[in-house]
Amino acid sequence: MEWMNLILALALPLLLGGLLVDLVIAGAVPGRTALVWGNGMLAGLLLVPLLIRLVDSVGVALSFSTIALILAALIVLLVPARRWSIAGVRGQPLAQSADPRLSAQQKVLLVLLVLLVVLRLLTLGLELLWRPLFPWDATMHWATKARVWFESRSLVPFVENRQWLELGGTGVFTDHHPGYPVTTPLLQTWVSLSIGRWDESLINLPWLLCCLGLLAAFYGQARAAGSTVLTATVFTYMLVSMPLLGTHVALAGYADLFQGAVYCAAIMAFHNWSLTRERGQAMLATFFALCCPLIKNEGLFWLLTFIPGLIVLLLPGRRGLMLLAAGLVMLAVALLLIPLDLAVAGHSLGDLKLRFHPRALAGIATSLWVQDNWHLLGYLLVALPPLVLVLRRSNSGKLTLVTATLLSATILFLFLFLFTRYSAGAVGFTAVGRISLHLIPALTFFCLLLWNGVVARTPVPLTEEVVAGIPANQT
Amino acid sequence: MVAGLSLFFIVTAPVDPPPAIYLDMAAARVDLGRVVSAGGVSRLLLDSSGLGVLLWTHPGLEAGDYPLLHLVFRQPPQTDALAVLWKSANAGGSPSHYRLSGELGFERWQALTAAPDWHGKPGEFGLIFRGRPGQSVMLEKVQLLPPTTSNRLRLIYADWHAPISWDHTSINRTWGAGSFGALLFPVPLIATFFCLSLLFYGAIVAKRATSRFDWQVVAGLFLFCWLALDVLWQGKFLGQLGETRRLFAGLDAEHKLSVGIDAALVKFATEVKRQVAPDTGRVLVSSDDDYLGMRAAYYLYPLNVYWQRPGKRLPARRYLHAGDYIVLLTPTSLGFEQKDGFLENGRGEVIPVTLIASTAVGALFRVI
Repeated sequence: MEWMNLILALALPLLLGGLLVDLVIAGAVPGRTALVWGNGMLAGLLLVPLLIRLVDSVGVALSFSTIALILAALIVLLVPARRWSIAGVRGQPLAQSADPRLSAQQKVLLVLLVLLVVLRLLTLGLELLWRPLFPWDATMHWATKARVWFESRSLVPFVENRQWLELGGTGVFTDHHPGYPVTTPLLQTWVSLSIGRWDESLINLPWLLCCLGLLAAFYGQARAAGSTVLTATVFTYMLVSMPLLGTHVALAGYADLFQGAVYCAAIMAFHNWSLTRERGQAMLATFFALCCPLIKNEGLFWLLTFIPGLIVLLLPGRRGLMLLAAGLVMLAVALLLIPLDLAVAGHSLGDLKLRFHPRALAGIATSLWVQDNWHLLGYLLVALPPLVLVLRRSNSGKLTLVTATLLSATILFLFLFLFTRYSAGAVGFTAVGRISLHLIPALTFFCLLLWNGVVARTPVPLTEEVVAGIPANQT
Repeated sequence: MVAGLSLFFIVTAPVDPPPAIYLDMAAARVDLGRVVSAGGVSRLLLDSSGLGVLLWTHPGLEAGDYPLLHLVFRQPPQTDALAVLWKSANAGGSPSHYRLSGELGFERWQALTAAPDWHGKPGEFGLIFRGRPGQSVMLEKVQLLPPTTSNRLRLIYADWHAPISWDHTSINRTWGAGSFGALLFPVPLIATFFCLSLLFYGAIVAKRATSRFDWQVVAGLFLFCWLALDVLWQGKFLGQLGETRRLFAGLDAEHKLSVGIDAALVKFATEVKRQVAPDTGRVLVSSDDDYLGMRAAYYLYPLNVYWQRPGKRLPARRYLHAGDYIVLLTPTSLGFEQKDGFLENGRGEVIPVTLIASTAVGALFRVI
């Protein structure tokens, strides 16, 4: 029974999210299955905590059967909805990518990469299943809430230490960061409710699902963006093989993997929407972008990075640039004028101690180019953008939106570590790697797009195989 | 690349390296367990608590001169854990230790630079084995090796292939080498290899009229380099996975905690939970050690727990009520006056308490 419930707890979010995404994504998209179920998995992992909050807010005690029944009912409603809602919601399908036939060597490479992906997921999954909750913050402020909510069957409020003392702890609990978003602990609560007990290993299964969802969504959106099967597979493999991403699955308990996956899902959908204006992709981008602040406080800042992208879209050319410049000036003025103690997303200017911290530069560089956090991605990130500019590829203009968004995110990232008190997190490597994880999946997708740009107009040598593939009247 | 690396090693090799230090079993002091010699082979028998400790005294030892440890076993030991132990003269005589992760084979090369405290003059050096009571370890050779060219190559190999050993920094960064102070890190080296390969490829294309530039070659070279790094990491991860499997596989949730790194803390927290009524008690946790305080607080949930970081002090007396529970974990700077039943809160105030339970891990009090 316990295993049946556990399987249901993992399958219901996938089914709900998958069916919802299936409603809005056009049928003729390469990699559609992966796109739908990958994004569906991620969407499901965000929807279940929202549903738990809804159930609790109406005063119903949290139980697996109640929430599972609601999920099942929604799924049942969605199955027939697929028939009539498709025409109304779907927009223009994404263009089919020209997918050349794979050579024997490429097929071997493809199989090898798939095997490596399977091996990585299998080994990460075993580590996750065997090891009880391990990392520091996981037990300091994430799982603490899950444990209490599971045992009390309600979302008992968590308050700051001082408030807890003043209230005498009556009706409230406390931990080190009571104000952190609740999505991650609610996923742990969900698994615990399903099995009816607190299990320090099984509560981490959503991290494996998140990784799987990210990979499938990445592959699907890469194919939808025009990548070949081989290119999409290579970059998907590269993503899952990055050691720090794998570590966040193996040593599950932090929210950074979810943040990175959701931001990446938003960026990918945003880019593909910018190519085709398909409403389904716009809905995905909006949903995932709006969900960013539900995972970590930093998510609000990642959500704001879409504004420059939208400005570039709505006001192309010089007007957009002027507006962005004006926005930067206004931001600078706001930094000077707003009260130092005004907290936004858990941070106030007074806390941030704004000034340049040069030592953090070495920390960031070491994290990207010396440590093995992301294998060689750091080098790819500095090599590909100039390469695309030098080669003046015709499709580089299609990347303007995603470039503006990710450039904003990168500037925010650098600002955080170079100009605020969080520089200590780069100097001592306590945060720079983890916060990078919020952006790395999206930046990997950006590298894939840049690579597509590099090879876009590369003349194909006229080998016998190529000639054989051209219809007779064209030779 | 090879020429460059060779040059690097030759140029940076110490001119007059110190000789290797051979640590003889016969000369070892046996602090725990006992050594039995038969047929020219010495074996260490673990004591009744499953521990065996061998110690060698070497007054002139400079840690910086000996970055590499080489162990040879007659048979791969089946012990649960092996750690190196050293007592540095300039660290007030307090011992340091470093656990060797991964399975032990017939021999083990270990970069001692992986141990953060391996510096100064360790006057005493030793090995700690943990396993089943009475288990035997057949150790043939123990060597501390200087950084000669060949030893440095071995050091890099040992460093790059050392199994991952999770600690609380693992979630923040991965160096790619087992050692923080590695001679060479894999990522920049492989990146250099890739750049040189590109240059080589460019030269071929430029020189041969029949060759034309192909981005697929560039992609292939890059992927090859990525795979090289990844195979290395996967191998290291498999080493850690083996350790995790040995420790936790097949155990239920409760037993996993009882064999994990917090076993003593979990046992103590379970005892506290048994003493505290779930509906009435508030539990305030304090320790000079943030990790212990934080972790104990976590294991005490779903009780209504209070722990503040840094957690050395207790809240002001006005916030504490009769019936509240206080957990003090070792180490703590808060004093308890047993005779009068007063506990200091670190703010110059005293709190009347009753001692309910006390162990080496910590103590539980109730405010009266």
